Order: sequence, then structure tokens, then C-alpha cells
Amino acid sequence: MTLRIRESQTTVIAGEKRLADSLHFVDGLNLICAENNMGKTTALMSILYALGWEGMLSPSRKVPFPPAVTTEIAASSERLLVTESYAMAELEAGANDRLTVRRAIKSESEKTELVRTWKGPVLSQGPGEHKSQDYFVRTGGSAKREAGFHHLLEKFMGWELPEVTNWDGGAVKLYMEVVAPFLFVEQTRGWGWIASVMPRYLRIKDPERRATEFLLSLESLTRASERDALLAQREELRGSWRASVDAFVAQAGEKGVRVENLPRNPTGDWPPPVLPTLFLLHENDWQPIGAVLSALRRELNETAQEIPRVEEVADQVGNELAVAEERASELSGLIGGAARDVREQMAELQSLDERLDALSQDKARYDDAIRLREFGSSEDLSIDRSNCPTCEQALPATLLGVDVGPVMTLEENRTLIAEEVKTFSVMRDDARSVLLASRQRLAALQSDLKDIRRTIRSLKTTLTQSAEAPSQAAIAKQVRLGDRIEEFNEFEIKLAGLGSDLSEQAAGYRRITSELADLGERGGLTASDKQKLTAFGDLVREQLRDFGFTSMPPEEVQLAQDTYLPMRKDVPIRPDELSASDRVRMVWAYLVGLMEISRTFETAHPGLLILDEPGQQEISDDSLRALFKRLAAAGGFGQQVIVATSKPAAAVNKMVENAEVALHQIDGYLLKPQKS
Amino acid sequence: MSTEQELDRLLDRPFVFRERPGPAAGDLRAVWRLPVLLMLVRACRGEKATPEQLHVLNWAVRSSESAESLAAFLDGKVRPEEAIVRFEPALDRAVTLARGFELLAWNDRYWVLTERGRDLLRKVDGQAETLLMEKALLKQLPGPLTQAAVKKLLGRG
Repeated sequence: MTLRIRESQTTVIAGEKRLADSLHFVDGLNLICAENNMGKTTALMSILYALGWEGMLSPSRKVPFPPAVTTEIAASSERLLVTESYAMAELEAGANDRLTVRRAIKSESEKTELVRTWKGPVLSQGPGEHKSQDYFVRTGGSAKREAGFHHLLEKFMGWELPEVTNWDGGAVKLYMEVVAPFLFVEQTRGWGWIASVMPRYLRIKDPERRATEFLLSLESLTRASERDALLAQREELRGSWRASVDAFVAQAGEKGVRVENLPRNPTGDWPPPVLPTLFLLHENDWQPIGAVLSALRRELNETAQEIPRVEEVADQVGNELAVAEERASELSGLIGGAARDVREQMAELQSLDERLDALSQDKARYDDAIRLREFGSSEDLSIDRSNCPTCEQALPATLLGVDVGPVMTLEENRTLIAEEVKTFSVMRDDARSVLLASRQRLAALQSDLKDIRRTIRSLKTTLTQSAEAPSQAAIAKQVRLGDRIEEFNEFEIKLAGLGSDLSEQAAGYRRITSELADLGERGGLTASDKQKLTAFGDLVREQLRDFGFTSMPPEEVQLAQDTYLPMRKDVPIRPDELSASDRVRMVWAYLVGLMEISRTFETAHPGLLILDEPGQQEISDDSLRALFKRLAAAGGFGQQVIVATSKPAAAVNKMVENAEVALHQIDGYLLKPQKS
Repeated sequence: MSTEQELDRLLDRPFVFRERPGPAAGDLRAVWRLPVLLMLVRACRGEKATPEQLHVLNWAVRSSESAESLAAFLDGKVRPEEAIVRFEPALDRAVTLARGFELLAWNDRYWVLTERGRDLLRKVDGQAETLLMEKALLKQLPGPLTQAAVKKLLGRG
């Protein structure tokens, strides 16, 4: 997995004139020294553009070049309109594997999405017999399709970019533009923090983390994708389990049947130690369905004897009618109370749901606020200040307009909300269970009342029949008992069916849980990953010492095991905690460390690093000297670093004396008129 | 010793009262509110906003119900009196802060975005996972909010 830039060329055609910069790069440190505004950034941007990586800077399709390359250029003291411009680069991967690429910056005939390639060293040795082939970039499919340039580049570099999760929960390829910020630092925004320019519009979850895991070849990346897939399966199974259980419980509830010991959440333990049981409201008491069915069958057997005639049972019917009417009256009262309970509990549940919605909205705002505060890591855009930038007065902690006393930090407030969500969730789950039980009771009472009324009707009919006729009440009772027994039998059968279905789902759940356990806890690292990270951390600390980092003791800087970013005493280091120049030193140490770790461990780092103006924030010459000396050692490991600096060449020469570097000292503009 | 005496003994020591920091609603934090405010300015016609336009949009992004209410009004599906706008004093304070932070400027008629404000908005746009609800609710509106629409909504036109 390597990538080297051997040649790069930016060509601008303006009128009759052709201007170009041609740069040759070797292994080790390549320094481009030129004064400001002479075209150094253009030269580096040309490499980025040729690689199709400018999407790391922004979603815009606008070419990332100044007007001198796209509109009007100064040439021999005249200003000429640019008619055509393009970027070319000759890439090397492996010993003799060369690929030359060309991409139009401004052209009437070639779209900027087109990348023309030759399988050979066209810039250094001419076109020869190398045939060209066109690919496309910066449009959908560039990373996956055969005709996509990034698909080709990935193969060329020997990379195998993994699938990662995006914000929609789907799996997408880890785009090169997400890895590029760790290999290319652009001048204006790249030095604010480690990978401060990150194309979040590509909607990959935790892009910095995924890119670092890929570059370090951490096993946890593969594990993260597998874990995400298993978590998605588990969520789906949870949904399906709950749907099955809820549907059964609802159907049972409508008939006044209560279900107990049926777990609403999936479990691997099936059948459960206490089996799910159906309960019926029988004589004001919830009794197991088995017992009620036995009683009903007994009663049915008794009535299955010869149907009596009316004259034989008239007195009995009269008594039964009185009892039934009393029971109906009692049930009506109970139903009124049960319905009131249901209404009150529904209102309480709704109020808890509303509270939880409000809390989750507030939590989302705090998550946003914490992310937004990070934007303020650069002084320019800081909106999280305690003093007014205009008059320096202390700003209130909130927008309430009154002094509310000390206010929690964003993190403290978010933690509080998270705790409240937990509490209210438990209350809501409890309220749901209580409501469900109340609804079941109400349905059971209503079902009983319906039955009793039918009984009353048939008893009354019996009393008006002729004496010789068979008792209507006895017939109706038999039919009713038979119907009830059949109905409750059906529920038992359905429960058995549900049990089989859940048994299958439980097996699936066991499998998923076991595989998740094998993968380890979230953020868990294998022993080899830990070794790599420890070595990476050592490299970062060593460099911070070398570079003169002083905002905190370098030995206290660790790398977090979940984000791989610097932290101190288990708290992530925020850029605004460091001085501006130390922020830059941290970026140096991190990116150089990522490259250097590949010298001792197997990683996917291509051994290429491009830095535009690392001497930011008037950083001391001592620090810069230490950086250049360190980067110069890259050559000994077959790695390549390209640096653009506006430091005078003489000063740079002194900094790198005795080190092997390729120094390109440019006088005037890099883009120079070429002989036709 | 009686219970009362025992209590007195236990309580007979100095008390220290410390004011602990209290919570605040997330939308009252400037760091959250200012980027949202900039998004509201951008959602107005010409990317410039009167205070009334800001209050209307601020109300719209509070909840999906209010966003639907505003969208229905702009589509002509409901009358102005059916979409009740709520004014929020905190918004005015946020606007003042935004001016102080040079994210917005007042050009005698409108609030407009400064270059700084645009830079911040670019960062917010680039963050797919930030201000999801507010971005989605603003997308629901049929187009940039005009002053004419706001005047009609507030019964002033």
C-alpha cells in the first residue's frame, strides 16, 4: 500500500502563451520554497485535484484554484485570459508501477469530472506507447464502479477500502476523501486541528475514527462493521419480537384475556423458566385459563343432560334472573370505575410521553451545542465565549435575560438530561404496564357484562315460554358455554403458536448475542491494536517533546482508545486548550506519527504526506527545524513528504543542513511561460 | 437524651450553603441558538430578514406542528388566524449577540449575514449530524419567507 508523487505539472494556456510548473519529487522530504502568492498552494492543490481528493475540502464542484489558473494570469507583464488549464501527476505505487493522470481545470472540451490516465511515466518520459483510458471522478460511483477513477486508484495503491456505516444506517465504502485529510493538510483550514477539514457531507458516521482505524489497519474497524451489522440485526429482531408479542397481547386484551410472563423484549432463554400464562377474570378474580376452562367444561357437562322443560325449572329461572340482574348492575359499576382508571392512566402516559419527547429534543440540542462549540476551536468563529467581543463585558450564561445564577456546563447539563430520560423512561414503561392491565380488566368486565345480559335475555324469554317447552335459558346457556370454551381454547392454541415463533426468534437472538460477545465490547481493541496504539502514542509524545510543545507536559498526552485522538487524564484535549502554535505542533505530531508507525507495524498508510505551510502561527524556527529533520528521515524508509513553505530557501537550507532533502527553490511565480 | 435533644446535638454545627449550577434549556444556550439564527436569516428571501421574519421562522422551527402550520399558511391552506405565531424574547437577545460576534449586520432595514456568519453556516452545513431537526423543518417550507407573507400572517398586511 504505497503512493508516491513522482511528477506534478499544472499547465495554463492563456492566449498564445503556455505556462506551467513542473515539479519532480523523490522519496524523503521535498521542500518547495517560494514567497507568498507565488503558486506553492496551487502546485499542491494540483496534486490533490489530480488525485480527485478535493472533495475533502467541500461538497462544492467548483475547482479549488485561484483566478490565475481559471480566469486571468499575469505573463511577461501582461494579463492574459485563461482559455484552458489542467493538472497532471505521475504516480508511483510499488517498484515500477506508474500511472499518469490528467484532469482539466478549465476546458471547453473536457469536463472536470473526467480523468485521463496512462499506465506509464508520461510526464517524465513522454507518452511513448502508453494508451490512454478515461475514468470519471466526483460523481456517484467513482469509488465503486469499474469506470470510476477512485476505484482504479484504490487498486493502484493496493488499498482495500472497507464498508462503514453512514448516518442513514446503511453501509457505504469508506471514501478516499475521508482518508485524505490525514495525508494532505491544506493551508487555510487544515491546521486548526487534526483532520479539521473533514467532508461530513458524505454522511459517514465517525469519519475521523473510521479513517484512523483504516490507516492504522486496526482490527477494530472490521469488528466495528461486523458489530454494526449485528446490532442492526438485533434491532430488527427486537422489533419483530415486540410486534408479535404486542399483537397477541392486544388481541387477547380485547377479549378480556390477560397474558402474564410473556417477555416483551427478546430473550435467548426460551422457553422461559416461568411459562407465559393466560388469565381470565372469573368471579371478580384473575384465574389461570386452565382452571377457568375446567370449570366451564364441568358446567357444560352438567347442562348437557336432557334439556328441562319450563315448568320444571320456572322457580330456578326466576332466582337465576334475580342474581343475574344484580350481577349486571355490579358489573356496570365496576366498568365505570375501570373506564375511569383507563382514562386517567392514558392521560398520565401521554404526559410522560410528552415529557420524554421534550427531554429527547433538549438532549439533541445539547449534542448539537457540544458539536457546535468545537467550531469555535478556531478564534475566528468562536461563539462559545464568556465575554462580549465588542465591549468585553461578561456575557450571561443563557439567553433568558435574567441572572439565573451559575449554570451547568454543556456536558453536565447533557448528563442530567440523560439521567432524566432514564428515570422518565422507567416511569413510562411502568405506566404502560399499568394501563395495559387496566385495559385488560376493562375488556374482561365488558365481556362479562355482555354475557350476563345475554343470560338475562334468555332467562326472561324462558319465563314467558309455555310450560311444556324446553327451557330457552338452558339451551342458551349450553351454547354460550360452548362458545366461550372454544374461544378460550383458541387463545391457548394461538399462545402455543406464538411460543414456537418466539422460540425461533430466541435462537436467533442467542446467536447474535454470542457473536457480539465474541467481538468484544464497543470500542474494544485486540491486543495487537493496543500495541499499535501504544506505539503511536509514544511517537506522538516523542515528537511533541522534540517540537517544543509546552501547553501541557507531553508525557501526559495519551491517545483515547475509542476516538484515537489526544487526551489528557482521560479527558479529550480540546484545541482551544492549547496555544495556537501548539495546536499546529499537535497536528504535525499526529500526522507524522501515523506515517511513522507504518515503519514498524503493518498499516494501510501509503507513506505519503503533503503539508501546505506547516510553519503556521509564526511557529518558532527551532520547532520547524525539528520537524524538517524528522521528515527528512522518511527517505530512509522509502516514504515521501512534500512540504510547501514561504520560509526563505537560505533559512530552510540552514534548518535542514546535513539532512538529505530535495529543495525546490522557486524564484518568482511557479507557473512560468514555456517555450512552444 | 430525648430524640429532640439528640437531634439538636446532631444539628449543632456550622452549615455551609453552596450555590450549585443549575440546568438550562438547550435552546437558551447561545452556542446552539446563534447558528440556528443564522439559518433563519438565510431562509428569508434575499437572505436578509426583518425582526418579524425571524420571529416567525423561530416559531416555525420549534416543532413539527408549528413548521406544518407555517407551511400550510404559505401554501394557502389555512388562514392567518389559524397559525398562531409565538414571539420569543430570547431570540432578540440572540440577535444582539450575533451582531456583537459579527455574524449578522444591520443595514437599517434588515439583518444580513456577514462573511463570518456565512463561514459558520458553511461549517454547520458540512456537519450532517448537527441541527438535524431544524434543517429538516426549514426544508419543509415551500420557499424563502417573504416580508409580504409575514405581514399577512401577523395581520399587518
